[in-house]
Amino acid sequence: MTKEEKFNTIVSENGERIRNICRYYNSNVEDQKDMYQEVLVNIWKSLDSFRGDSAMSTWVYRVAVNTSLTFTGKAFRHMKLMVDSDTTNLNSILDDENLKQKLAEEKLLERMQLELNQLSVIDKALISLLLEGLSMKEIAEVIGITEPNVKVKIHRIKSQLKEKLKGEQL
Amino acid sequence: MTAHEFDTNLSKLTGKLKKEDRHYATIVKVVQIFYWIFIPLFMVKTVVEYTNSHEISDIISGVALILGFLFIALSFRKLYKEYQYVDYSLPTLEMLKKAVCRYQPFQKRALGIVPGLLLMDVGLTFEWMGEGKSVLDSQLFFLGAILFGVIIGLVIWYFKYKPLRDKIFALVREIEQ
Repeated sequence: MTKEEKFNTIVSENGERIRNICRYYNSNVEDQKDMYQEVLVNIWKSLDSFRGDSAMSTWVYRVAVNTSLTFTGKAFRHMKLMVDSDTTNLNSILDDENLKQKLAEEKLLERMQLELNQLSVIDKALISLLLEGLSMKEIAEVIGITEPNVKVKIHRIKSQLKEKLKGEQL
Repeated sequence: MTAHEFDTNLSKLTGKLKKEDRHYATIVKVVQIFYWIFIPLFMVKTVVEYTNSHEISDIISGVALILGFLFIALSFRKLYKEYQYVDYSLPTLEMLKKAVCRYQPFQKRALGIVPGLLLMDVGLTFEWMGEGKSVLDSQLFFLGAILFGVIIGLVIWYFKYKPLRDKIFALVREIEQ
């Protein structure tokens, strides 16, 4: 299989994953396209180093997340995490039944959006992977830290978000 | 944004990526041309000078300068490859740590060009000695030029790369917390 064929296979099989990561970080469609292209450029550049040690999806997420951290089109401080009510696994952040129901309400979603964007760049990366439905083990493989460390970090983020959203009146 | 919108440009992008690979190959080729043309020219110069003067210092000077250029050209090629091809498929923490190392002002791998610089120093010293100048003159000139280069490099690093290094380092610390 040539490099080009390998590349096309990866893109066709993982295009949706990459697009999702791009959507999390950019509200503007043009910015999403720019970042998508940059992720593809980085996949191409890193393709020779793929040895199959990790799952292809984990490898693709690594490239996507690492690109988002160094995305040349945006300064770190302007990096935003965009979620909407259709975001898959949104309830994995707030696993409280009442809050899940309330998420249907626009006001709470906006509040949640605001709080998510107060998170640090790394916490945003962790949340974007959680929203993608990755397990703690897979997130650990993408970020390069231990699974217990991921659990601690995610737990801390969830607790902070819950605490901040607890007082929200609908 | 639909998948179709993303994918319509895929073939165009593949062309762009191939072009990028070619761009890298071109740069490497230019560097290779630099030393494969420049070095024989310097060899000819050395032989001509020795034929005229029969001074052993002309040979020492020429060979040292040729080897110095060769060493630096090869080091440049290696460093360019490392900088151009950042591996984005590494775990995030590892990629960021490597980025911190890349943006440090003084790096162990930069020591690789020291032999090349020493050879150039030897070449320059013998060249100047042949012209009747003292070793001290050539050393002062050479060290002054190196010091000037280091200062310019540090100023560029401080304004261009240090802020980036600091931000990446903060991310590393945050992940490791």
